[in-house]
Amino acid sequence: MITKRILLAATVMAVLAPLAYAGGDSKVEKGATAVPASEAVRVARSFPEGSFSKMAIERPLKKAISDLSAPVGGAKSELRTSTLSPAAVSPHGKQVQPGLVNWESNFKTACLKAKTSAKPVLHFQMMGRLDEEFC
Amino acid sequence: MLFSNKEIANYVNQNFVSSWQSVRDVPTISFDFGQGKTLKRTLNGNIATYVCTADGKVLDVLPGLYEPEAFKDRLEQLELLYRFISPMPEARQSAALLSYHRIQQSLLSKAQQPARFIETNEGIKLVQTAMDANQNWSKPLPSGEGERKTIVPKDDLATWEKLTADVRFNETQMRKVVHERLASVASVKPNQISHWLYREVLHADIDDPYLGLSPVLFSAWPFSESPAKMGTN
Repeated sequence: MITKRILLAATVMAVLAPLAYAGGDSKVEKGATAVPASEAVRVARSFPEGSFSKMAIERPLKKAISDLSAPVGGAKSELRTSTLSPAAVSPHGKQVQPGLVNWESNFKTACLKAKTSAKPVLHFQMMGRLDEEFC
Repeated sequence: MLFSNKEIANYVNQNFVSSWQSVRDVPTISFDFGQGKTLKRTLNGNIATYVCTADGKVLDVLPGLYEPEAFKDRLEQLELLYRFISPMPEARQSAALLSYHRIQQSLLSKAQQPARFIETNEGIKLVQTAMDANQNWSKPLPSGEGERKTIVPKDDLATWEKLTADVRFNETQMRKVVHERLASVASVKPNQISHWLYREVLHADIDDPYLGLSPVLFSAWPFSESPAKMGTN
């Protein structure tokens, strides 16, 4: 049993350590040597079509890699990389603008406001937070 | 993505009072490509959009992800539902709402297109339209409103074909279950059905620390200990 727990702990540490270092807005570790985006795109395209067909992640992953070659701060820069200018990164770490909708602070406030505006309430539920980068 | 779309946001701001709520943290996964390149993405997150009265009663729910055009179309329908229901006396509102959900559930159960609200000089009506076998559920459903201009750039992720398939599934399968549930309760608020909605409709049990994925995640796990025990040790 003890051996199992040691093995388990080692496995979890091996998986979690890179995730911990990947935290923050910049998804590239500071000081790391950047791979040219064109090279990343070339490698992604070198895989035969369908080689990852069982993985639903394939298309977004390829898209994300191709986005690395998008202009800095371009409209497709959903994926934050170190190539983004500092101004493009939220001053509150992972905080982002929750879209262009005028959100009330909570459902109760929205209902109170709906009573005077004669509008219905749109209540959006989600995992994660709408004002954080990953939601 | 949806609420960053200018046309969607403008429409929502003009016609709704909006709020958002996090039901739990979203799981994330990171890919380490080496050489300093890591990619972080969400995993198995899901969303639900409720349209409610000012009393907080749920009129209807859009479960899961939608393409912008389909999302705006369905919101327009739910805004018409609100305007159809709200002038009625309270007792009649409940009966009309139950009737609406029963009609929609019945049509979807027979693989027919759901009825749609149309606004005429005589007021708002719920009408059944003919089913088109090739109906694209990601576009506005036909109701004689004519062709609409696209609100999504061609290369936008929202045109991804898997999202189109999601919309079809949401509209034909998930909403059928939602209508069935809402046809059985006279009045319900979002928080009274959100756990059920995530577990039974969106298949992401927010009360389960592993979101219901334990059988997949741990079926080939090399250790005998259960995930629950792992979490406590």
